[in-house]
Amino acid sequence: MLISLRTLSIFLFLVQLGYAFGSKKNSPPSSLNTGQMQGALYVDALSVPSPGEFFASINKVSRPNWTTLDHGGNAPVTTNRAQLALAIGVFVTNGFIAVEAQDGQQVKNMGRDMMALSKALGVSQTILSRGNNLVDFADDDQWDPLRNELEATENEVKSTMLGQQDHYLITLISAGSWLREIEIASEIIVNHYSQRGAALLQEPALAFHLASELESLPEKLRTDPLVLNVKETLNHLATLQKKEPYGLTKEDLGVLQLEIKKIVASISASDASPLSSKPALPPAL
Amino acid sequence: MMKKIVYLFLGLLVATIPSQAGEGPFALSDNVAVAKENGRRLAQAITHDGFRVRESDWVVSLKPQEPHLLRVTLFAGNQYWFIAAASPPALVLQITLYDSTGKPIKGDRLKEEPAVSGARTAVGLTAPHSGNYFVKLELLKSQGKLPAETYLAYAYK
Repeated sequence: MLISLRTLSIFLFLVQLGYAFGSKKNSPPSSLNTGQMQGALYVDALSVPSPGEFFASINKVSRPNWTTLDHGGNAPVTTNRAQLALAIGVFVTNGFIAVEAQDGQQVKNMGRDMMALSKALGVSQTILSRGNNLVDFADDDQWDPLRNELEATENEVKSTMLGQQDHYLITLISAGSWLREIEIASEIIVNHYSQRGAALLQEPALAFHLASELESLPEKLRTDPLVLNVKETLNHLATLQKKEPYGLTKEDLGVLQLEIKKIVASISASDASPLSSKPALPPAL
Repeated sequence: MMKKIVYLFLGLLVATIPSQAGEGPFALSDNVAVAKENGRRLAQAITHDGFRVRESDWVVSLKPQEPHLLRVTLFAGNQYWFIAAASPPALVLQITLYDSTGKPIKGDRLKEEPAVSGARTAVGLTAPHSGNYFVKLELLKSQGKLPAETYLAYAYK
């Protein structure tokens, strides 16, 4: 017998041991290559930040008086589904602004508007209880639970859209929310300008990504004048940010803020309003 | 004697094949619920420190040695914890963070983790600048080759 049972057992034990404590676990991670980074997954739920995160970051650099900032108007009256989805995004962000301002009445108004918008899109039934929670938390000044509830409401609208084969509207909600966040953040930073503050807004990859997602919408939505304007604005934002990697200048930021303000006003305008029929073309900087 | 060795060898081989017991009795939704529960228990330990856990999460079927790479958007100055948890048969999970150039970031690790079945891990960082980051989620060790339902979420302050 060339190999004894004992030797065989030891050999198998060592093989198993080597497998269990393979070098992969202990070796330092290597850098990602371009292909890996380009192939990275984009999951709306985690890849798009919540307005609360952005505002937490702004609060560290500048101490804005949230109560004096524009909290947004009423929900638009429209049958345009793209506009309704964009408006839900804008109103979610308005809700976070109201929470930062600790304005319970405004949160309740925003909750009511979100219900109206969701109803117009046929998703209100599933989020009615969320609306009630928003009112309860606002009445009790529970700001942290309100932030969670706002995000949960947005998630529920998005997941209902998935179930209703309206998944393409999800990108519009995210785009509307991000534009409104940038609008309000630009206003804050322009009023108390610092390069550190301007650098907080440097998220060109997100703006590019949202713009490219709008490119893949069904034709009817893709060619909607408002959607075209939103895409144009997102591309413009991303291009500017890419050009100034350490943060936009105060002047550029001011012009950008006005441009985004126009598009957010178009999103929030009712069908009869002159804003809804006028495309908000981005001005040249 | 040769026959005995062959039987012994086969016996040892069978013994070294990882158990699939954890995969059988659970339906997919049960495994998702276990993964989420594990993750939320871990998240609770973090929220005590003033972090807000996002309501949004992601559940993915993760196979051993088949990592998933996810793009996230972080803001300068914010502190983050990325939390992952998986149901059995997962044993060891790993999260690796990378900056926008693909360079790995040495994150913080939780000192104490609540004991749960399955696997869980959390990695924290303070974002040095706003921008794109990458999160690699990897199942390093499992009791089987079948995928484990894995939950990923993050908290910020």
